[in-house]
Amino acid sequence: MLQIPCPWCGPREDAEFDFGGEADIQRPADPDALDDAAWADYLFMRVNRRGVQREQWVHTAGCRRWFVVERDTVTNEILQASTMGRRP
Amino acid sequence: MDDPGPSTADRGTTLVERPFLTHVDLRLDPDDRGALAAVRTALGLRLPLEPNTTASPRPLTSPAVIAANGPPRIEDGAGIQTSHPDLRPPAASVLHAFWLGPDEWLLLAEPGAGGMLVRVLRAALHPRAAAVTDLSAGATVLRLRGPEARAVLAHGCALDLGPAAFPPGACAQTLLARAQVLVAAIDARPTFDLIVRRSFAPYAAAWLRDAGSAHGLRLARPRAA
Repeated sequence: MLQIPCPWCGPREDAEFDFGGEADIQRPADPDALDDAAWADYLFMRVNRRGVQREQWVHTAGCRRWFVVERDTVTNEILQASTMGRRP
Repeated sequence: MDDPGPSTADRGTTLVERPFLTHVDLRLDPDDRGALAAVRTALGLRLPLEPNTTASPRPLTSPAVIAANGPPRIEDGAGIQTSHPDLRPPAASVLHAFWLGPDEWLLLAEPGAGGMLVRVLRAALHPRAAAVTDLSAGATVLRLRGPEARAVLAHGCALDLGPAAFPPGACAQTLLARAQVLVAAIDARPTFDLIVRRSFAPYAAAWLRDAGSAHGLRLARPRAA
């Protein structure tokens, strides 16, 4: 079983969490200035790196907060977990 | 987990519903010291800021509560007849606060206190950024008590609920047999309160009966309200 360290609740089993894809995506400051391709890239395109990536998780069955996990997608090793908007 | 042996009548493990309690969800910014102070003044309650802990239960006897329980009147705004004399909480009503998230708490009180708590808290927190929501009847409380309580829960809960990791005063939102529950350690007998959504309550109770059948779990009748 994968254990995910919630920044508030501590390590919990992965069944309590949901995955939210790539982290640190910034909303474009001026969406009107974007063409369709750039807007679609912001809305839909997500990296799925082989190796360590920063991704969003939510503690659905716990405190229901979103946070950022640094996870190695090859080994499933979790290197860090931090609250949203705060780089460790 | 060590097995204390078969339960006897006086040492048995029991499951009882604590129905119709008042559930109020409170959200505010924990960095807003003024808001925390306002709650403390209004309810005589220090909100637990440590994750997964509860504030020790306290009687609802603050001046704001006594004032709010004054002459019965139909509440304006939400239009709920919360101040009906039959629904006013008794003087001995007890308030229990559970940490749900960094900016969210659950307040549990005796039946019928919802409108009064919402009114008192909204008045105390106005005009700050805060939300007070009466969730009574949205969830119920199942109380599991006795020497086998941990063994019963261990059938369907991955958390370490032992006395070292989960002493009285601890609480946690987690999964019990895939149902979302808020588990709270009440005392060392041990007693656990399981706060479950009402739509999950029949399932959770049936699951507990089944899991408890190997541990001599008895169903108890709720106290008359």
